[in-house]
Amino acid sequence: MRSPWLRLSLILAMAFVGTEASSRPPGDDPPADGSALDTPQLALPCGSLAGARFNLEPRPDPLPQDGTAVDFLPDGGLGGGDLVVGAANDMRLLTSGQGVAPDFRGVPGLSSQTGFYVHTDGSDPNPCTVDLEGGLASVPHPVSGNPLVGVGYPAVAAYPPGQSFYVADTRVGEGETSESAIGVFRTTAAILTDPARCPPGTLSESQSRQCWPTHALVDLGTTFTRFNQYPHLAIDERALGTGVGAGNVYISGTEIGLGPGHSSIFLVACRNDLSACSPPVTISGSDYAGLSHVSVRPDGGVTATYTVQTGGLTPTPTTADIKYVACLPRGAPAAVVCAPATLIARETQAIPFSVFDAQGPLDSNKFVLNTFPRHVHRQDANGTETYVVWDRCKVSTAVPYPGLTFVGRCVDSDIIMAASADNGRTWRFAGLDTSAQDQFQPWVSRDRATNVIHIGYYTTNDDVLFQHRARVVLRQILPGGSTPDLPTAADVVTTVPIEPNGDPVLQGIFIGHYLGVSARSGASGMRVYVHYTHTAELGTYNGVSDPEQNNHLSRIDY
Amino acid sequence: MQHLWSVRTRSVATIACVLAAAVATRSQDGSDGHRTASRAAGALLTANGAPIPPFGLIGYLASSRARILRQHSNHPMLRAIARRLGEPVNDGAPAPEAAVSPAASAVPAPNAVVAGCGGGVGTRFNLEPRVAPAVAAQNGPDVDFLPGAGLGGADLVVGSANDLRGLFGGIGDSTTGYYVHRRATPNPCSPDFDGGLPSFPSRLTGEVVFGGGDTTLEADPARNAVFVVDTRFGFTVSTLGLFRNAGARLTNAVACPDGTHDGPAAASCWPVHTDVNPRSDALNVFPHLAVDPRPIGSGPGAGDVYTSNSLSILSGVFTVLTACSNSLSACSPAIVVSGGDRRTQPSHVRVRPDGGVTVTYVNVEEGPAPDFRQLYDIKYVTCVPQGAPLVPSCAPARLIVREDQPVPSRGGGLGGGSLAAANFLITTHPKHEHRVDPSGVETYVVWDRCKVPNIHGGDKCPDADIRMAVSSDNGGSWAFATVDDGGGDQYFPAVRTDGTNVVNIAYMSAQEDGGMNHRARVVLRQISPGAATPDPVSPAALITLIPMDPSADFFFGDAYIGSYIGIAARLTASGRHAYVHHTHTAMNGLYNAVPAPEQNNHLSRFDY
Repeated sequence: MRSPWLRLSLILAMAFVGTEASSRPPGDDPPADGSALDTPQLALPCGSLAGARFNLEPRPDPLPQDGTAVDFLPDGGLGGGDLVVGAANDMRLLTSGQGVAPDFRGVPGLSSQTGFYVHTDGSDPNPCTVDLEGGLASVPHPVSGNPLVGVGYPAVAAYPPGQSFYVADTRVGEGETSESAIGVFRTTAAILTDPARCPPGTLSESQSRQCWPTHALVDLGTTFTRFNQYPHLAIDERALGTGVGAGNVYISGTEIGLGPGHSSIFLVACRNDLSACSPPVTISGSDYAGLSHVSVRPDGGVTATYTVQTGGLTPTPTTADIKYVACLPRGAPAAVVCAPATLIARETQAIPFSVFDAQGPLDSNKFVLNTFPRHVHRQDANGTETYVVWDRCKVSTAVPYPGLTFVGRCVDSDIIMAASADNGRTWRFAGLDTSAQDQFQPWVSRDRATNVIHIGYYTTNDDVLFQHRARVVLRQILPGGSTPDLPTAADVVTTVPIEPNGDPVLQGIFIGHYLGVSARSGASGMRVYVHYTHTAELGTYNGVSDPEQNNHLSRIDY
Repeated sequence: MQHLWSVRTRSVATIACVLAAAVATRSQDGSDGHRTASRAAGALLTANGAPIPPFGLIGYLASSRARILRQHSNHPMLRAIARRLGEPVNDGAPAPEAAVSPAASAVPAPNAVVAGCGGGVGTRFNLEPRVAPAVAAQNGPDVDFLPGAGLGGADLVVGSANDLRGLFGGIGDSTTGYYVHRRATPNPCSPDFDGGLPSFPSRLTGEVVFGGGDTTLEADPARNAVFVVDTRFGFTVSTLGLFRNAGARLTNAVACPDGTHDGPAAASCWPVHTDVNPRSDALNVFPHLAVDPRPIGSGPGAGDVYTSNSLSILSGVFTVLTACSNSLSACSPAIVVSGGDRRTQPSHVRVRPDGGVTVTYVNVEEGPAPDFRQLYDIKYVTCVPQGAPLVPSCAPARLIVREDQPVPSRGGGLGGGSLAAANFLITTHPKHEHRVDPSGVETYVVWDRCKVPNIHGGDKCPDADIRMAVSSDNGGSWAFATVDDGGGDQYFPAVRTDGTNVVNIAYMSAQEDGGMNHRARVVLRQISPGAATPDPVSPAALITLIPMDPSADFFFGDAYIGSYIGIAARLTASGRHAYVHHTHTAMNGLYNAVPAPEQNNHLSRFDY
């Protein structure tokens, strides 16, 4: 048996095995629409229709990009423009290494790589154009020397005090050997804007090594003992030396190992320069856990969210226990010290994704989608507030028919949130967007300067008849006296919706697991970049045009 | 593209391995060639070796996409399919009570979309409630009508379709839906009653067989009758259900009351039927139907009813033809009209003005390694009627054209689709029609084909068009032309000639989908009689202004929207009417009180 088969088995097992936890239903607070910020401005010509395609792929026979992440250094580019770094799954052969991504709806054999895309030129009238791109290069295994190749699922973070960027991705042994790890890469604004090291255009693998010269492999294992997937990454943005853990890089991920039902969340702390990392710490206890997200509090505390999914086989609908872990930094390479995970909510109306059900999980879309919580912290009048957002179904996913109760369809997905002002000891719940049709894949970012939280997500709200094509929208949560504070009305980022089936390779089964949002303030005000999957750019196939997936970038100025 | 090749090859290998593990097979003599044939057609093998062709509702229900339905439903047809695939079946679950219909003999008996039908999406042509669990999908529609035969001089319009209400305890557990408009109402497309064609015991094994969809129909104005054929799939027998109804009965509110019929009501409304070609050792799938419209006694075969279908046996999939008397009191044995072709795909049967019977079908060949691209030989068969129950006398099939750019039956994308931006089951399916004009009897054959060679290893079409071949010498020679090669996908052409010898071609077109090539409208083109062969094709008339999204259904998702649409065109007292019966997703169902789109059969009328 080759490794993909085991991986598939593990993925399938993960979908249906779980552990019990105490129940605490979310509240039924009405959807909130707060007062709007100053009128946002889409940064034309980023393009209000579908943003700007953020890759340089030629149009004949293109391949998909999806699973998008983004961050930026305000005013860090050439000529005073923003320096924007995106990352995504990219099915092109950007490097020499091929490996198998852990989850394209459970389809093994589908090779993807980790693409990066950079906007450097501040003089460009379009602040969303891509100046250079490439694939994160393979990294040799420290013991075997075998190359570990990036297969996507990237996360991106910028560190303004050090003018540096970090990307984490999933790594597997080239040629489907059994090594497994999470890759972490570091570069600096100085390198990215140096055309001698990062020339414009699509970089070769050797150029990519110059452009991303620093890397580490964390949670090294094998497919058989410790298979890694779904990494996330966060940085303590405090300046180096200002506190324990300041500048540390934290990586969380899912680790699937031996034994029945073994799937756990680990957390690793690395030094800012990646010169040393802690051993992985399991933070999910005995939970059969997945889909982690890591964040850093203003005081340097490290937090993670994850889910424990159960059910999903008729007649039992999918349930997701949404958990929260609070950790104390010790200063990398010392490992963090974490309290046991606590339950935020038992989500009994979780998105019912299953690799066994080819037509789920939504009524009108079948791409990979899970109830996947993301969280962020901010400082306001209530102290440090924590906001957790996730996708869920508006109603029960158990739809009884004579002889068969369907549990694999969510007929209307929403986004709700939980907020805490005491680092997860108590939570209050509210709707973020519970309007008609589907809202999904929320991503959350906080502008440290203003403490405004920005939440981007897809919505089919405007596709009144068919609930199929989604636009990207953005809401804010301004600092205020409540917990949670009210979100603003949605700002439309893309007036042209994505056609999820519009890709000849993926054909609707996958649009990425997430989109990316980054909000920061610079000399010219607060900017929000949103990196997402779109199908508005056509490819050509034997000379005829068809839609295909690309990573697109939009900027909204406040 | 080398990279993508790797992707595709490995994905296909994966799928093949999964199927190999899931489907029971056995080694038999001649199985190598048989498996090659099955691979060429993309078919699933049953436990006894007969492949289930990958098209139609049965093809969908037998596919991996419908595994959950097969695993959990207690419907007899789904159990039968699961058993034939060698899958475990929950025998403990009770099967529905069958409302059996005994067999009975019949007594022989300015161009515009009509606004009242609804210019946007037509009119939903069923009476299904909107709230789950009463709501389920309809697709694969066909239609015909008896001009002026309804109440108050209205057209008597009869539609048929796959109807999933039958899988969940509705409409007599039949998945063959019927839908009838009979009143002179402001909306000439509204249904007055609907139901499911009734179950009956097979005359071969006695097993009660339920309507299994993949239905087609034709009206017979000369005898004021309507005929419908469907697939019947049991565990011991596979057959076609052929039904006859009289206009007088369909307009009789006692025999066929308004509203939705349950099993007994359907049996009362449709008492005349027979099973065509019941077999225990073969599978009958994907039938088509034609009626010789000539008055009985005007020539051999006048009034006879012909069915063609795919017959799957151990050695391959063949195309067969059966002739039945108009009363359905007797049918001929099925005869193979596809000769040595054993990889045939859906057939289509018509009757020439002189009573000659013609059949088109596809035989799928494979190109060389490594792609094994599908090559579709489109064939034409001419037969001389002998008068049912005698079998027609058929000449060997002749090649119309080798279509080397088919819409392949093997979906090549990871979503399983044969088109680049839509995933539903589809394959090149030729249909044909005859008409008389100054050139004599002309035969028009239309089919879906790919504008360019298929991509990504040969199993995916990036842009589907509609093409036609025309003959004025009953297939002796053919001229070729384009019906629609606009941008985006055009597919599912349906063709019918009216009483004035205008050829009507309705089909789906995604041309106006802003480049997304996903949502399709129904359009109609016409070919008026003329001196040329082929005569010019008119510009397209829009039948539905609002496109159909093929991904919007609670049950099918984006995997299946039926295999065709239906058209009927006839001269009436008030002019020429063309009814188009199509699948749309603009209507919502309610699931746990939340609306979500779902498939329905819709009806539109075009007057000209």
